[in-house]
Amino acid sequence: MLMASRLKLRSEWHVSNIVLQSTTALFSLSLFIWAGLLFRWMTFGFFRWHPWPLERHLDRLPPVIPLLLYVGFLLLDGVILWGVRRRVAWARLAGLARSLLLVALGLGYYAWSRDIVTSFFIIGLAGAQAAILWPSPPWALSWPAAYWLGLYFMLPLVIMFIVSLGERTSVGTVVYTFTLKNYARFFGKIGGRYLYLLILWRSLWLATVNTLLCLIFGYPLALWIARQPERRRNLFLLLVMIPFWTNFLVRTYAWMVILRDTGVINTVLIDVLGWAERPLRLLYTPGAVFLGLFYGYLPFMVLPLYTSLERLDWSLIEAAQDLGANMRRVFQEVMLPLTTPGIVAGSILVFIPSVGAYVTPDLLGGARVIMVGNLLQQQFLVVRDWPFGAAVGFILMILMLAATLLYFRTGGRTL
Amino acid sequence: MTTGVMTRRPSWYWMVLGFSIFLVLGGLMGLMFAIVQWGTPAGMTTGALGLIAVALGTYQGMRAVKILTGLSWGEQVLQVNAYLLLAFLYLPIIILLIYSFNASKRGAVWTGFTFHWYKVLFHDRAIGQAVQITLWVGFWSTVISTAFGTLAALALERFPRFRGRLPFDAVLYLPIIIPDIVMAISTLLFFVVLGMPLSRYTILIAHVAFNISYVAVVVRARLADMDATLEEAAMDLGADEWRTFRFITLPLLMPGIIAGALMAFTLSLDDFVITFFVSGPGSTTLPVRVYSMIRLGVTPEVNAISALMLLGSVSLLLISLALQKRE
Repeated sequence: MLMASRLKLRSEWHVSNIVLQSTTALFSLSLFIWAGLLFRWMTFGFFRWHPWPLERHLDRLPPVIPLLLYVGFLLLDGVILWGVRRRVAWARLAGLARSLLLVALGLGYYAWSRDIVTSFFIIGLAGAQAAILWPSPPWALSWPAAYWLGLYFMLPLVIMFIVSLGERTSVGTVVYTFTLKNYARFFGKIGGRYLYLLILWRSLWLATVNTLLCLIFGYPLALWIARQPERRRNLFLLLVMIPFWTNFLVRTYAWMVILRDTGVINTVLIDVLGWAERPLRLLYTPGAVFLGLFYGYLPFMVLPLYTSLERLDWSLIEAAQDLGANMRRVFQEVMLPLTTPGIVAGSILVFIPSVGAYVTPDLLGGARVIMVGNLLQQQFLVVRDWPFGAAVGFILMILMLAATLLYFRTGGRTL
Repeated sequence: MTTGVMTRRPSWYWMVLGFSIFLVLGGLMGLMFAIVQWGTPAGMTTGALGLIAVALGTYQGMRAVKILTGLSWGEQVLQVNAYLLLAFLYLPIIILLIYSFNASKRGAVWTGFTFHWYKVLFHDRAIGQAVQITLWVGFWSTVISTAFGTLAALALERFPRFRGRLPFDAVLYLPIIIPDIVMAISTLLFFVVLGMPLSRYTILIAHVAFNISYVAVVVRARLADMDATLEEAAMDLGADEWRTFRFITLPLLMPGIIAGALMAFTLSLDDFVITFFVSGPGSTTLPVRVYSMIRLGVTPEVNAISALMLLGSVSLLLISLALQKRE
């Protein structure tokens, strides 16, 4: 009794109900999983289950080891759950230790079996249990998304950077030599020309002009829709949203149907009007790529612009007009500053996908490498020079991040 | 005053308007002819005449409209711009829809109405399998990313400061900002380096990764607009956190969650670039399948499947709007 109180074994864990309930739910889940795994393991001969990857790998061990593992964790988690329900402090510490152990086991299991899905699940569940026992409610909530993005989004970017420092072997595999050769190649001359810089420059240039054009045509469209009466406004908004939600591939393909040598325009010119003998070359030209980009990304500009124009307080404009401002000054000094967030959001939504566009230059620009997207595809799937492709991808990513930061600095606060 | 009455007679300006439309259309034809016959004397003369006709027709037409309806020049420019852009957005799609019913195997010459290409499509087993995988990936990525994205949005909106909030917030935005081709190649490298064979599971993993961000952004917007007093009232009346969440927060948040889920589903169904890079030989989705069909050559089947995909997207959009309107 005295010992117990000195060691604070019986001290209470002061914690809110919601944390307790979430802990109960998460530990019940793992109890359920252990019980299920144990049941499957014991009845494999009887039910002939289709083995999961975990079970296939554990089958390489003596059969008693998985059994001990399942029973041990079943008992351990049962005791922890019991303690947590009674709000005893040691249950929390035991639970944290057990979650750490499980994370270590998950990592070891990955190193041993290369079974990424199962180990990912084990570590994820253990991490969530640790976060709720800590207790850090925001991290318990963020954990699934943070874990998924960390593992399947951030880690790939890190790996891409590491691969970009490597070199390609003659059979197409990667050796990690940690050189900057790939970057030097990108920024250097190839056959007397800055070949890759030129491609990057062309992409940036096309994307900039495209963004400006989308803004010049999209702003009046958004303004016009925002000024319509309610019912017409909803109708026209729907008409802009339909292309926004339609498959990009299909919309690009529609232009192929129109522009190709036996397409709609050439058929009309040759067979219907008889103005030309040979088909005009419309598809597989830079002009077609440009048209495709403008067509593809115009709705991405109009929708955010419309949102900010719809929120605009029109009495401010009337006030400016009453105070003697002409249309130009009203636009410059009232409308433009108030709709900057929309302009920034629309420009980001058009500029970034335009620079990295792959479908449009590939389908409408033909087999030639016109933009960075083509270059990346060619390096990865055709030439199989992965280190160089990774370097190009990394440069593109850094450029886009810098552009976004710059936009946010100068313009709006939120996307 | 008398001259004003004379010149402002409507019937006269309707005639002017009709004539100017005629002028603009004729001028555009002339310009097209000039583009086709660029360099020849006939072509250049027609082009010059066409340019003049378009300019004159536009000016006269806009003047007539101004007198007839009282719309100012600026308003007319807005209106013409809007209708032209909408026509530009829809013409290709409509042409595609029409040609999916064309009997001709090649070329754009209309040879008759047929449902043949749709029939071919429904008997194509590869497309059936692609549709199956697309829907499987779409469903599971929507379920997972909606759950995870909503939880993340709750954490970021309801807890204004916790350790590591800022980096997490930044990482959550990154998949939206980074070009999808960069995400595609980095994910491909990740799977190859870690030795994971490409399958429908790798597609699912990549789709969840970008969908989480979109769901989180949509749900966060809804949470930020939400009135916190209702939750406070529930707590004051003795409800604990779980009950408050279950009976107040969640119902209020539901439109945002549904909008996020539909967006995730659409993004997953429509994604081509990322799927193209991380899909294995036996696991192509519909967009990847359509892409390879296009690369093999433009055929009427592609027209038909494009038309069906269009129909699918439009119905999804209408469902999402109807669900949002009901709230």
